[in-house]
Amino acid sequence: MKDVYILAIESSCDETSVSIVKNGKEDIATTINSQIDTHKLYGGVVPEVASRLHLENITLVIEETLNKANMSVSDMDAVACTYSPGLLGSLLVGLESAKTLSLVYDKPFIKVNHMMGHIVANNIDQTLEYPLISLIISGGHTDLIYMENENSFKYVGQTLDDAVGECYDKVARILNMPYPGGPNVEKLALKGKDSYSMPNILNDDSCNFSFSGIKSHVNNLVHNSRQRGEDIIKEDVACSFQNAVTNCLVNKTLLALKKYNVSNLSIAGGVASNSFIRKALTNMCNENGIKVFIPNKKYCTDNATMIGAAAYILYKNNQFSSLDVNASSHEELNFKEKE
Amino acid sequence: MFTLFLDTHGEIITISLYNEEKIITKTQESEYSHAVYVVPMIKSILEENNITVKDIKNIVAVNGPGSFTGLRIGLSVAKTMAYSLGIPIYLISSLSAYLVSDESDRDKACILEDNKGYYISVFNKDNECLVDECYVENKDKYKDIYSVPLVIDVKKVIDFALKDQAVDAHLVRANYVKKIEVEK
Repeated sequence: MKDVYILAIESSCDETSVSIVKNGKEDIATTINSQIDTHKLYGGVVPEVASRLHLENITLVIEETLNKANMSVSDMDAVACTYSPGLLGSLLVGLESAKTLSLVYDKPFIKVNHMMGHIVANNIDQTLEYPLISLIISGGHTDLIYMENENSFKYVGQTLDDAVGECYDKVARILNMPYPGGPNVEKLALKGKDSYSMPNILNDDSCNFSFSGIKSHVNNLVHNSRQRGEDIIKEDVACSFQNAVTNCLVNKTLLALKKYNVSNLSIAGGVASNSFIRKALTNMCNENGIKVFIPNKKYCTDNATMIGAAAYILYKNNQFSSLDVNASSHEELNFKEKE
Repeated sequence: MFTLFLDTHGEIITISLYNEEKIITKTQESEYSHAVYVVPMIKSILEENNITVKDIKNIVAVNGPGSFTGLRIGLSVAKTMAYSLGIPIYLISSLSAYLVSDESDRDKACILEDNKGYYISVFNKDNECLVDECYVENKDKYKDIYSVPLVIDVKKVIDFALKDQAVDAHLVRANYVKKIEVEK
């Protein structure tokens, strides 16, 4: 079969990214323009500001990627783009730009669900094996998904309230750490001891998660100590918090693997770049004879390479999209992704 | 060769192809679904007239003020098209577009209302700007100036826009005029 090149665009949150991916596996060129420094000023992503920056940067990011690869859009076999889930205003910029490239160069257009992108990030430089359980952990999602093959998705468990990354960001704020909180809490935790008691997170036989309780617990712990004039040891709070969250992720993932009698685990999403969580999940897999797939850290956080990798699966299955696709803030992965 | 005109600032999307001989226009009402229509409208206006993207020599796009999302949809398309085809792009404000569409022989104001106030600009009869674009909560100051109807004459708008300088496709931005909360 001839080589397939896909130009992919991702703009669902605060990163404008464009990538050229060969055969769904090889990252030919990728550019990621992060808006993090701007959003830091506000303590989090401001959707209107994010959308504005995407519009300012989109063609520059496309051009830089094409230049790095020394290719033109006419060399592509398809143009792909994230259409859901994400911030509507942000998604629309990438989506309309991708549809325009598809029209101008007369190339097939492929809409890609961002979550499928996160999972398939594991196909870059390695090859996923099915059936598998996929754990997606990010600022917006905490999902356990059962996949019988590369193009079927069944939700096994989800967070009932906050996403794990969101919870990290909130805890960072309580501890007066700057945005983005996740990596800062992780660093802090490394220097601490597990000395504060934390609630046992949603310890039931479902595969669901819940992180609002532990968030409130950390909030109360810090505020009560302050009111009593006691010092809290930030490092120890971070360490105790991270241990509790990680235990929950490990236990629920193991539960899902056992329920579906599956021996492959794919871990994905921005929080999968947390070394402590990566290590804990890997250890659990080693102890239970599970084969674990984790993307290189640079493919965990939002990037267009994973969108190109996912688009290749849709390309092989002739799952092309028309140019009237609208963006959606919350469309989930279907059991079978079809137009 | 044709000029492609794109206006997505409001609830009516207008897309036109224009040359010395003719002007072809498509319009579509859309409150919240501009993304569903814009690219397919361009595709169909080209196909129905046996024109290809290579026959487009330049682009004129209305860049606001107006619906933030509507503008970003239209401008994402317009700038990607100008960039990928390597053709010049010209921007015109929505207020100017309404003002130059009007032929009355006196000073004229364009007043665009949104949920909290008014976007305003004033031109004289020769289409020279008297009051720069602004966003105000009270429009009483302008009540004695003739207010133009919100109707766009595509030919007049394109002719006016082409007198200005083309913009580098990478630098195409929306003309939001109004400040958002975090900027205040």
